[in-house]
Order: sequence, then C-alpha cells, then structure tokens
Amino acid sequence: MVRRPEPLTPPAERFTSPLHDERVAAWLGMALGLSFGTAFATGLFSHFMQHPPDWMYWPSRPVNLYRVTQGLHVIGGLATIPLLLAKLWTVYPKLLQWPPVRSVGHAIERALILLLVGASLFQLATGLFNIAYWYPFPFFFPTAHYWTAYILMGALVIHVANEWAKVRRTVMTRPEDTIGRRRFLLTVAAAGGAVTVTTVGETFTPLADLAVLAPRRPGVGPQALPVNKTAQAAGIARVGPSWRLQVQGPVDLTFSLQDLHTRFPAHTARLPIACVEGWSASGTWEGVRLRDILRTAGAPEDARVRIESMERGGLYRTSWVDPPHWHDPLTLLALRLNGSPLDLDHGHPCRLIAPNRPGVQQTKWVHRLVIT
Amino acid sequence: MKARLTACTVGGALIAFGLWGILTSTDSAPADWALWLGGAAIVHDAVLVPVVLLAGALTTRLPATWKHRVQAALLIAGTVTLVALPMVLGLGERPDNPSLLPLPYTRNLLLVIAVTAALAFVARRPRRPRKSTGE
Repeated sequence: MVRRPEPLTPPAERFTSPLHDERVAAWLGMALGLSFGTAFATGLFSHFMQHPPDWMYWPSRPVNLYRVTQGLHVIGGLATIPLLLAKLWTVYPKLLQWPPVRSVGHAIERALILLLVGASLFQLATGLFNIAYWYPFPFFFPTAHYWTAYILMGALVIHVANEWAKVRRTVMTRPEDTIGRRRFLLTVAAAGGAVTVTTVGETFTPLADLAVLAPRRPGVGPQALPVNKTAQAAGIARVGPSWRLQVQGPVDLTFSLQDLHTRFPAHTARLPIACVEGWSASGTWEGVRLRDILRTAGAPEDARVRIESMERGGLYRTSWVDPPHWHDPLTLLALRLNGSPLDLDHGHPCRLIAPNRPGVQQTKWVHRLVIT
Repeated sequence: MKARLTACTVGGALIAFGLWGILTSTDSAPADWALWLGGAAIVHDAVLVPVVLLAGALTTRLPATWKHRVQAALLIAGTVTLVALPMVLGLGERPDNPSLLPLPYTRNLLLVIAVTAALAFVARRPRRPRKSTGE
C-alpha cells in the first residue's frame, strides 16, 4: 500500500499538480510561522524602542543591536514574500471547496483564515511599500502595520492550534510516493534566497555591491551616507553663525559652534545610522560627548533629556535620551562626519548620534537640550 | 483539547486587541484599512493566483527535461519581480533626496532575471526520483 499524505481537497481533479498537498503545506506553514514570529518579535522591539513605556529604559549596548533586529525584520520580511505566496498557492484548492460552509464552526474557521490571509498579505505589502517610500494608502503606515501585527498573530495562533495535529502527522510520516516536494520547497527557498541576496547589502555592508534591488545603498548620499529626511523636506535653510545651542537644566547655558569646539574635548565614534526602514550604514562621527555638556549644566545622573531640533514640526522634531544612552561615552553631539563638517542634510551644525538607537531618534539640526 | 482552547483564547484576545487599536487610533482610517486588507486577499486570490495557475498549465506541457527548470526559473524570477516592483516603478522617489532609490532598478531586475534563467539553463538535471517501494 502506498502511504501518501492527503490531497488538500476533495474534489481536486482540476488542480493537477500533486504539490497541492498537506505535506507541502505543513513544511511551508512551519517556515512561515517562524518568519512571522521573528517579524512580530523584532517589530515589537522596534515599536517599544521608539515608544518606551515610562518605567522602561533601553540599554545603549550592544551598539549594533537595533541595526541587527531591524535588518532582520525588513530583509526577513522581504524573504517571507515568496514563502507566503507559495503557501497560499499550495492551499488554493481549499478556497474553492464545496460546499463553502459546512457548519457554524466551519464558517468561523474560514472567516479566521480570511483574516489570516488578508492580514499576512497586508503586512508584507505595506511593509514593502514603506521601504520603497511609497504611500498610496490613507492610513499612517506605522499605526496600521503595528495593530495589524496583533491581528495576524492572533489568527496565526488559532490556525496553528487547528492544524497542529495534521502537521504533526504529515511531517512525522515518511511519504512513499514520488512527488517532487523537495524540489518545490528548495525552489521556494531559492526564491527567498534571491530576494535576500539582492537586498541584504543595504544593511549588511560587506554585501552592498550585491544589493542591486535594495532601496538604499550604503555609501550613496552626502558624505557617503544615505539621508532619510533632507533639510529641504524639514524646512531648514542654511544655518548661519548666529546658531546657538541652548541647554535648559539646573544651570542654563548657551554655546556657539566655536564654544562646542573649544570648551569640550573632541571625541570620535564609529556608529551606524540604523533606519526603521531596514537600511543601515556606519559613519565616523566627530563631536563632543553629550554627557560632558549635560554634566556642565548640572544634570542629575538619572535625568531624562529632551533633544529639540530646529525643524518646525514633524513627528520626530524632538527625541528623548534616557540615562543609559547619555551616560554612554559613544553618545555624541556630532559636528563632523567622515572627515568634514556635517552636511546640512545630515543635521548641520549639530546632531545627536548614539549607539543602539533607531535612526529617526538620532535628532538632526539640534538647537536645544532640555534636562528634566 | 485544553491546549487548543487556550490557543483560541489567546488568539482571540490578540485579534480583539488589534481590532481595538485600529478602531481607536486617530490615524488608522479603519474603513480604508479594511478595504486594503480585504482587497489584498481579493487581488491575490482573483488575479495573482489565476495568473500563476495559467503559467503552470502552460509549462506543464513542456518536455520533462525542461519543465521543472522553466517552472523553477519562473517562480524565482516572478517573486523577485514582485518584490522589486515598487523600486522599479520608483513611485517613492523624491527630487530633494537622491540617496533614496539611487540605483537603475529596471536594468538590475532584468539582470537578476537573466542570471536566474542562465542558472536554470545550466542546472544539473535532477536525479530521477526514487521508485515507489510500496504498491
């Protein structure tokens, strides 16, 4: 007797490929579960790094932690696209099952599957559009992507619980047929590999030359570093010698650019801009330590500091720096990048640069520090 | 059964939490959000998959030597094209920021497709699958 995993649907005569079967669906499903689980974890990490609850401080080390987790989120998400499409193709005959609904329970199960499929496609499509900086939808991407993630995970947990026994049975049983499942699964893996190889260089610099389809290229931009928001987009015109850095705290202080150069020791740090869109690139930053300035202004050790930009508006006009980050000797108010004064698009005359911190919080065009 | 009940409770709570977030946020445009979520499923089921099934039906008639490598090349090139499409179309380009979408994406995509096709062409012919032992 030939032991063969169940074909997915009676009647499947119209779908001649034997790959529409439970075993293929099970393997692809397990891989997808791992992918979506990773994306959910790294996505929450990124969300709560940008919106920490009051009681929580993120560490400033490891330096490249956010760079790695967000690279995993975005490049892993891109590689999930072939995986999801292959899985949905495999189970497509089930969409056309007849009768469409057999019972109330079956109707609920199918509604949850629709939610799972819709949410999965929604997350991957909006994520892809976001890294391509294309916003054809009226909702705010971070809000929609964040909340839809919970819906996707919820529907996925229920789906896994419903299919667990079937997956276990089919994966644990060695099929005795000649269906080329392995070839198909390897092809899907190759598609994910091709997507990864042509994009991962936008964050993993050694492979930058291979990133021919990535929306960013490390090394391309003013001073060899990509820019997210230009001075023009932020409404910043050239900053003249009248610029002053104001520090509000126990002692109120004001510094000119010259003061920053002469009154504080200069330091150099090699740190990445790690963007929420998944790209990252390192620069050599020169400037003064944030902690040197804050201590001069009498900041208590547990102070939180608000960094204010000259930008008129925008969600990221200000950012908070918590004690672990401002105590870190690598955290600078940078004045120079890669050997020359900061380009206006990189935040001239002065920007924040700190380890393990999302790019949108590396505030540019700084003009005020408020110690609270 | 108990584990399944727990999973359904946790899953249901997560779904409810996500829906609550979408419905109560000020910038989530819930009606449009629902349209995009449902629309994604419809476009996938009614447009993308039929195209793939058609490609499958056409290529399945090829001689055995070529069938699998053509299908594999189409699968890889097709998914890479979908992922690269927003970059190729360049709809997110901004005149003030040349560091955004800085590459010649159309040329690069054609290059990747060409490499995929070439690899499929030279790929070793897969070994014949093991004969079925049962009957």
